Amino acid sequence: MEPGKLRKALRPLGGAAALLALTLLAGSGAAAKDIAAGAHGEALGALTDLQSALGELDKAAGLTVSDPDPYRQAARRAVNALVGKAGAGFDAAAGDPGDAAGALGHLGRLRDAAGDRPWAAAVQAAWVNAMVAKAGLDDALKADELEDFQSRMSGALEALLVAIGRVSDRGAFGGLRGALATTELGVPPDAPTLPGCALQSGTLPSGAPSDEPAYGVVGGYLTYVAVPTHDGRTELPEPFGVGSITVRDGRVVLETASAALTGKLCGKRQQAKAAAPTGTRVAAADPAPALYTEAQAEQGHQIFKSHCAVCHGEQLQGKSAPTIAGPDFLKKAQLLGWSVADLRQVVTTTMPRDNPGSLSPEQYARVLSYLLAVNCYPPGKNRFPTTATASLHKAALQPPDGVKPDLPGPGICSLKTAAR
Amino acid sequence: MQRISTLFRGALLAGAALALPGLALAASGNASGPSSDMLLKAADDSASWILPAGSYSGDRSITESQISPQNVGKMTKAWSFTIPAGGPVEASPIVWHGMMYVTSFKNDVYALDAKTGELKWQYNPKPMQLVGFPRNRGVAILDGVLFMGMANGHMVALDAETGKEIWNKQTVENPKNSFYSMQPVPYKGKLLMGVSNGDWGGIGNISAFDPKTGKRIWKWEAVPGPGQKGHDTWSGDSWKRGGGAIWSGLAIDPKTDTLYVDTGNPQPDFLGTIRKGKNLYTDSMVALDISGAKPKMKWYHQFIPHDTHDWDPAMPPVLFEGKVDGKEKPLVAAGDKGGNFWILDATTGKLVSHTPVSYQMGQNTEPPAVGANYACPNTNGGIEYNGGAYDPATNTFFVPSTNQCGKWTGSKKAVYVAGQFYLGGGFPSLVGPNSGWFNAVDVSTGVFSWRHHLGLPANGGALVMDYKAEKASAASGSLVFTGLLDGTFAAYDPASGKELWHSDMGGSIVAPPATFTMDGRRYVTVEAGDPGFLKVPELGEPAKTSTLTAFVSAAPQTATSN
Repeated sequence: MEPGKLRKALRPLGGAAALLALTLLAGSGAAAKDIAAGAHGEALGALTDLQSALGELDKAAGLTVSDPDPYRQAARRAVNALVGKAGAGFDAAAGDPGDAAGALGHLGRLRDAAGDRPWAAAVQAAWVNAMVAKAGLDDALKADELEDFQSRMSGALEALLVAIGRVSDRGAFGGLRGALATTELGVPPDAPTLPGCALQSGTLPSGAPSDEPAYGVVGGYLTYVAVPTHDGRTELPEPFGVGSITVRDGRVVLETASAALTGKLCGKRQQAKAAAPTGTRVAAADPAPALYTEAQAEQGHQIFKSHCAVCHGEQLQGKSAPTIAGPDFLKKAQLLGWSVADLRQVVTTTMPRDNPGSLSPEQYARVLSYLLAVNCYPPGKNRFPTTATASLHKAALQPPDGVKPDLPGPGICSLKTAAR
Repeated sequence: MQRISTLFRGALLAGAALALPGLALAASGNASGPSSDMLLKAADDSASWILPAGSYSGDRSITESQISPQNVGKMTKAWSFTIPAGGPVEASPIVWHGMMYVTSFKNDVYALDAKTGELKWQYNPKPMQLVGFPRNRGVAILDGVLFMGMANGHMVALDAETGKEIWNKQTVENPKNSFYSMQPVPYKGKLLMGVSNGDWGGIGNISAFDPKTGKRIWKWEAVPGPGQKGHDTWSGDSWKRGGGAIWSGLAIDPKTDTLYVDTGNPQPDFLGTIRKGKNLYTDSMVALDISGAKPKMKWYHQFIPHDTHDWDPAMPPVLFEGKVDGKEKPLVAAGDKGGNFWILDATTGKLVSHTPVSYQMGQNTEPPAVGANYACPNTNGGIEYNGGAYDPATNTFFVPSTNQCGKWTGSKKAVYVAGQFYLGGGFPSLVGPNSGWFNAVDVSTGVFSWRHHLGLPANGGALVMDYKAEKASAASGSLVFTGLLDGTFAAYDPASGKELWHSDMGGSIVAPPATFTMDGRRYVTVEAGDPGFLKVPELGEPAKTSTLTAFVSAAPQTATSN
């Protein structure tokens, strides 16, 4: 995992959207009474603490010294941010980047308040992952060797990333960020709310205040935020995701990922509870990007068999050349900080070893598609490109979340499994 | 003699330094490892083999009183140890008073009873290697502690008696382009170690570390930075990934604290157009004064300016007093993968003689970005990392070499990707003839005294024994041992090249022999198995297992006739 990169990706889209200066949003709204009191504050507190812990590990991952102390101190500070001042394992001497409650304190209170709200599962998952991260850090602190420490720490780091969640191109999140972006958890306590189903009718309800954002809430889901359009800056809660931006009735309407659920939520309110909004999925906080098509991977398999298997092995197990698939390979790529573009660079310029550069750009794209597939990256609608595009540079090569390798040898995915 | 040996053995079995009168070696220093002073006198301690080449000179030459050309045929196999990890074994073991230490290509360390080959302990670190190839060329020993550089760029210190880790520390600066393969060399309280990063986009260095903590004391970089002498031999910014890894062994003259070290090839290996100039100090031998706080260069001698074929001087330097023009003078020998054997004046670095020892062709070409050309040797040819040995009795240098040509292709540009080769082209494909030589070079002229043509590449090093009988006897003369890729471990007459003895080891030999004495008998060790980089089609199926075998001389005559 590359925390630096990821956290850049996590920067809220809402920040930019909020800077839009537009005309007033007419109408008024009242603070939602059904939102658990203080839940928004607890969620933001938990998120801040989780990010502080992540920040410590991020810094530790960037250390180059061989003295174990700075690593251990960073791990202790991360634990402090997780457990809070009263928590077991709090070590005041190391320093505390978090607040008094700690991420686990906040999340514990949220769990107690969750009942059957749509964010209950997300909070539960964030809590579990924060516990996993803490256990990983406890383990890392027992490591004698830097390498052990780093491998345990990277486990904790992954759990934290899952707990925090991540933004996608469509504004959907996993983890706590997802819950904040798509449910009432994202609504500040005193903010005005509007009927969440209003978008269905195509017009916004009137009566929202003129100087602050109003939140569209239905059944515990946050479906949109209507932003006033006066000159100047309008603040939104930090973790905010935008599925789409439309201008309606002279106002800016930021639709969240939950907006896609309004059909269900507003047609039959009873079924809404059963719907699993994207924001509350437990795992897959960092889903591997879809960078190739299934057809490319299948064609790539044929090319691999004729040009690569002689050295890398039919099952990619490695022969005279190393293993190029499976958890160990991906782990190594992660430690080297490789992007998919780096992999492409190596393959297109040095492979096949006896005649580098001898395949056509599309043949290389197919072989790389096959390599992504056996490494459990999912296919999608876009073809793997024949040049190093920005999306290849952005995509880290690392063990993808969620998908279990189903073939023996180094532990690789069949093309079917990659496509799940 | 017998009685002392028995006493001595008793002291060792007790596992402690019993202060036995008259046994200087056991009485000082640590029970399980030599002190810095003992390392300085390593050549005089026939019971041990405590430096990579037996002594700081690197000459792999001993004076011997057991094995003679006459009785070498009576040598028998004492024991054989199967290396559990298999794979290529490319170094001599370290032997210290009854214990032997050998490493695997995966950085396992095996501690053996030198008398029986019984495994006493093993250390299996399983390092995660981010860059390079899996190889290890042995441990160092100092004051009861073993030191090893690992594939993940860590150095580790182990208790020589138990194998327990004392410290384990990342000591390369960038593990994404650097690893260790070389055998560390302890010298006067410091640990000298070169870094393997020469084909992956790093800059080579040799550093001195504190053996107690692994802390770096000084560093000498093979590529001069801005403002330093030699920097102008690199065009543009090319020096930043200029290479010059320190792969091979070292030679040291303790009288003057002069370190002789060979530097690796420039990078990107096959693309010279982006690094115009001589590319100092790559492909060079450098003499460094290491008596002060920081090394000072006394001289350098660049063997191949602006190399574009990865022909670095892989052979560990050998320091010796040889006879040239009828005069004894300090000389230092080097050998490169381009198939050249060099003898330099050790005081000035001036060339004394140059002997091509491998088939050479197309050496002034550069691999083309479009198409391919041919040049010999290829990157695994010429003289390799196991080097050779000097025989003072005949003033002859012995070194194996490989004839192997390559088909070369460069590229238009070189892009650095962490963890990957930074070559500016591809490694050459083999085009034969994949044969070798065992060369005897007359030091006084640089001309062959004799050379054996071999059907396969050769990198089995050499070991010289100059037999001097304890009592006046008819037996006299010297032997030179080497190991071949076909599994033959052989001894030749240094003067004529006549084979005196051989044994089939059942696997390829790509490690130099080592030797020591115990209980009044001479042992000679050799590793055999996987051929490593010298795997060629002519070899057929390589051996599946790797072994370390000890031969022992016939029982001494004193035991039977006295």
